[in-house]
Amino acid sequence: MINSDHATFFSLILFGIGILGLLTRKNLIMILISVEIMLNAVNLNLIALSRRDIQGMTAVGGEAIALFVILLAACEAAVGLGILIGLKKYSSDVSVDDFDELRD
Amino acid sequence: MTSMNLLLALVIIIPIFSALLIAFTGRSFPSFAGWIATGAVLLSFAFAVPVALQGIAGNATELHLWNFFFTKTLSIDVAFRVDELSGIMLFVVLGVGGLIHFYSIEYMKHDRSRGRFFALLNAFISFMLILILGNNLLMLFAGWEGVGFASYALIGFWYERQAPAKAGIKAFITNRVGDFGFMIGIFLLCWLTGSGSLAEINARCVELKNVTVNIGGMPFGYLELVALMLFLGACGKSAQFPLHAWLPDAMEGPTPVSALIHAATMVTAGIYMVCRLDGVFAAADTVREIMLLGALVTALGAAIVACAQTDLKRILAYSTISQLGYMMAGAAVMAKGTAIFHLATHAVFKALLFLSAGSVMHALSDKLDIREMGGLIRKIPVTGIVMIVGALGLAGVPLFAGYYSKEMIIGAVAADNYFAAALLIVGAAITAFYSARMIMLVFFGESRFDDETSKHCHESNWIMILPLIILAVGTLIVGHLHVSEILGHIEEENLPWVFYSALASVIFGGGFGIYYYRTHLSHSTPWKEFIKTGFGWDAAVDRVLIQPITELAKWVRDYLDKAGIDSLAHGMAHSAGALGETMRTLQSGSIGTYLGYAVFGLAILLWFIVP
Repeated sequence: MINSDHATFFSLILFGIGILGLLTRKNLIMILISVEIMLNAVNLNLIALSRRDIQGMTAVGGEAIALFVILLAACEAAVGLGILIGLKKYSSDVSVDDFDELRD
Repeated sequence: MTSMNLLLALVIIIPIFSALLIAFTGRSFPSFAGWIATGAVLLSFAFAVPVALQGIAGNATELHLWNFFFTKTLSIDVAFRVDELSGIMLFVVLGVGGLIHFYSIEYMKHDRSRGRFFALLNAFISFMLILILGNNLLMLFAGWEGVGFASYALIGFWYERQAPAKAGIKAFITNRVGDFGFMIGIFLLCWLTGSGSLAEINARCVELKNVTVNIGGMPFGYLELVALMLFLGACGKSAQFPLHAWLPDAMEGPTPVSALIHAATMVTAGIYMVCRLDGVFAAADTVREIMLLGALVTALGAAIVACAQTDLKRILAYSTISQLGYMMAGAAVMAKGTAIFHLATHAVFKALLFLSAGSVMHALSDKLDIREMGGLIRKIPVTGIVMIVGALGLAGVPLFAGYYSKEMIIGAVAADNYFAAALLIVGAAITAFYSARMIMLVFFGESRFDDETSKHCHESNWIMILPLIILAVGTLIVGHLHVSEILGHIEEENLPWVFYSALASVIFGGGFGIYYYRTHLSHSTPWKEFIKTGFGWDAAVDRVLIQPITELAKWVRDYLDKAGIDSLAHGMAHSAGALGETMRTLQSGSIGTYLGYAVFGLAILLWFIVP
């Protein structure tokens, strides 16, 4: 029987994959995808935890926040991809190593 | 407010107003600055005459303006008072000062900063008035410091040249040493009597004579201590040994300044203060012994040094120091009448001598070396005659001013101490000798200046000559005024030997000087050169005081400031720089690294948040 503990573990693994992708990938698109994976891991965790009874009550708030996070992830993807298209003009393979203007 | 009070207020306000007027607007009318300044002083003098005469007659005029400050135990007013003593001083300061102002109009005609000159000259007169008219210690001190400042600014009047600037600083710093003592004296007096009023302090000193303080287990008379500190102040201002060295250097200033400040008025402030606070000094017998000793050293030493000088103004400067020694000797034996009498006569004939010296300088294109003069009586007869009158006054020849006052001082000292009187008589002989030497070398014998100078040699015009003639007449008159008796009876030793030996010493000294220098200069010898430097006093002070202090200052600079404070400050700056240098490598600009930091930060946060 799959219960919320399994979902929590799964979300943990997903979040770890996201972080690993974030730190190891050079391609900005892949980094963006990693961020999306992390956000979805968080969403999954929120939903799983909202299924638990806490002091005899069901915490519905977790599901509500998950909706907000989905909205946020959509916005972030839109803005992130927009920036990516801009960056594509300067570097064809959009590698993170090509951009260090943030230092200046 | 009675009419006398009003006059007194005007006497003080007019020079102050004039000084401010010239200081702020003098630039736009430099040619009139001298006339305005002179007019102000003469107007002030005119107003001062009735007030001063009434003061001398014994009806003191007092003017209380406002309360300066008050504490629980001490209240100081801005108040002025004219009594016998300040009445005489009013005549000296404003009379001689007015003539010198008048003389300066011509003397400073070609100087481009004459506005500043006359503003400072008037400021000096204002401060001197505050000094002599102030009714309490604090007013006296305010004037005292004011004339110190005016003196500094006027000695260094030609500040573009190094020597006057240095001389001004030397005068100011030497005076500060004296002022330090004077201030302590004032504080001690105010503390003891709970009053700043001069009259009250003098009155209370008799009952306070036996108050003692313990210093290191030894009982000292409180008033002895006060008198010693006040005497230190008087030493600084009146150029007494060992604080005398600034006065010869002060001759770097314009000649009228030498006449006004360093002969006639400012240097007499110390004598005035001692006479003003005679109650304190009367209660301090030991200090008066020290004062007499110091006065003798000053009078004799400066007279000997004057004999070896070759610079006309420096001869006069050393003679001023010597004569101030005489005054101090008179004050030290509590014969303040004689001291003030000599102060008044000295003011007249020394102003005359300095102004004549200025006229000689004017004639000889600013030459001051008496070795390059000679035979000037044929070229500038009027200056010559008035300067001879001045020199006769200085030497103490009968009928002339200095004779009567110096004789009285010697008599008063003889009543106290025969030995001191004998030394003063020797000093009188030396005075006569160097006066004769100066006159012979400047006005008689063959001319030792070159033809170029000779061609330009001319008598000064009437603006400079008129004050000289008035002062020469004054030198003849002022000795016959019984100034000393105004200030109470003097206990004088009317021994014939004092009288005759003083007279004989003057005749011998003067005669020898005339005979010895009748035709030629004497040769320079190492001894004379040594005496000329004031017995090497400056070099000694340099070795004992200035060099060690300079070394100490260098040590502080190198080891405390540079090695200590600077390296601390630099160290802090360097370590902050090094830290920044290290930290800036963190800001690589690489997005991947930044993401790594973010994850690392998140991990740390989680470490703390998750229990």
